[in-house]
Amino acid sequence: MDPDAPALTRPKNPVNEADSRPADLLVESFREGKPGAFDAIVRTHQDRVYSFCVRMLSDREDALDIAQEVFLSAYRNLSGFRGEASLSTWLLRIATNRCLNRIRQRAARAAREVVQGGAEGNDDSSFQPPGREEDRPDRLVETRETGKILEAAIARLDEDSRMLVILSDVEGFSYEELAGAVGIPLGTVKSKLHRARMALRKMLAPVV
Amino acid sequence: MECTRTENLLSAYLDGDLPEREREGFAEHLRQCPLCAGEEKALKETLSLLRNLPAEKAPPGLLEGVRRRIGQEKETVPLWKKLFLPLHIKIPLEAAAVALIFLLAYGVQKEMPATKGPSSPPAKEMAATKAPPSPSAAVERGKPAPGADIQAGRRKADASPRLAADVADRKVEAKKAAVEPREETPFETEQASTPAPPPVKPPLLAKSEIPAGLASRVSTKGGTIEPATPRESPAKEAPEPRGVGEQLSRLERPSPYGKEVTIEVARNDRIGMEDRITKLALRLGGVVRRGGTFTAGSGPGEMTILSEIMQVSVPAASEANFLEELGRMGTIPPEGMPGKTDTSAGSSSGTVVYTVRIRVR
Repeated sequence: MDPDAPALTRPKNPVNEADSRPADLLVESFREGKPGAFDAIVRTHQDRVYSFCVRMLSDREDALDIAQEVFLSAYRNLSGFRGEASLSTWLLRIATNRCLNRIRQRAARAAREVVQGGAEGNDDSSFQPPGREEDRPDRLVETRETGKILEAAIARLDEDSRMLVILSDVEGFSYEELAGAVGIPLGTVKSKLHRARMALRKMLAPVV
Repeated sequence: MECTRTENLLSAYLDGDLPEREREGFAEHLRQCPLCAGEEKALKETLSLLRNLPAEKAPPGLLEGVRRRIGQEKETVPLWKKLFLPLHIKIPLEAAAVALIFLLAYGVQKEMPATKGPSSPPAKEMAATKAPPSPSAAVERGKPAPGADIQAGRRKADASPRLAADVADRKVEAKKAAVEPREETPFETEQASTPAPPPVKPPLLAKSEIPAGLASRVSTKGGTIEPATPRESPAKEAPEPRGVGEQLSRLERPSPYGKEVTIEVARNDRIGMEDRITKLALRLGGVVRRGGTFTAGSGPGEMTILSEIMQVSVPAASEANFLEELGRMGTIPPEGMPGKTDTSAGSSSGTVVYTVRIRVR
């Protein structure tokens, strides 16, 4: 057997397992109406939720807005949280839906602007993919800031691939959790995730 | 294994999602193909970078923003939400309230007397009235029966002296009852406190001559006989004729317990029958509850009392005496005799309750 072969089991959302027990206690405290319980939930998960939103939306202002929406939604619905998944997984599922909605709103707005611009005949610029041109990974190679390169590469993926890569390889969702969060069959998740990874790997070829 | 296939399986291999046999073939290919081994190494490194990507620190205003939004939402909760949410609490509460209201309404309805208005007397009473078809049936249809005028005139002529005696008797009873004032109910209960005077044969009265409430109730206010609602005219106080379809009073329905007895009396003996039975019951140490009266006709002098139902509770020891003396007042037809299958239960131990139906021959 190849000594470099990967672990036979896929890492199962290590962060979720680590925070599941205290999170459950926080949820119980919130349900019991203990003051400060919800603040503690927000403090525990805000970095993770916010990071996810930033990576998905490539915009910090939008990410802050969506992250707050996520916690507001959690506040409304925590009484119905059944604990089948960890709280962080649950929050990231809410964040996924919110981010995809925001991306669709943006795309619709951009499409309207293009149509209006075409009608007026003032602007014939084509639709730009997400991510700024100067943030293209191959241009960032020179800086050798791997983190930034990676973030830029993720931002240039299409939204479905971006969502799958972030949830799977950054947040540690299992295939099953992914299928549940995205609402597509398990086989489709696997093939789409593979294509997304290969696209990312190609973008990172200069540094990896 | 071909290189193209290897590339397709790279993710599954790195995730440990390949079957054992396929994984070994894959590893073997990687050992032999440096190109595929390079791809595998690059993807592995990419995944490693992704897994170690640090979480971005949330801005300090995030929690404050969430609190502010929650506060805004609480302020703008619409009234309907306050009334109906959370559903899992309010729906059961509201359902319980509705059920309670229905139960209360049912209880109140059960305790209420029979509703007035158009009604049909029970089949038994109808059959009884059909036997002499002319007066009552004609009156029921609102037409003067042949001979009705003559009968009414006869009643008027006989009424006055007998009425005075009857009223005097009633005053005595009413005074007894007035010792302990109580709220007037549709069913007057008279307790045996002193021995009652011997029965007096009542007069035959026309409707217009019967004091209001005489046929069905005795007022105890001030110990005198007076209409139950003095402000109303006597014509209004008289029981209204019943038509087809009216629901029966509880007392008019078969008794849920106790025994039933039917007594048939001649038309001339009908008036005052209740009083005689009441006196009999009181003399035997019993209690009487008087119920609805079936009447027909609407004009003065045209009213015919068809039947009345009373509940008489007598001590079990006096049961035989009661039946014997009741039999002397009229005729108890075979079907009216209390059957052996009747429940011999009273409202309290040592008593027997009889539902007495008075019928005109």
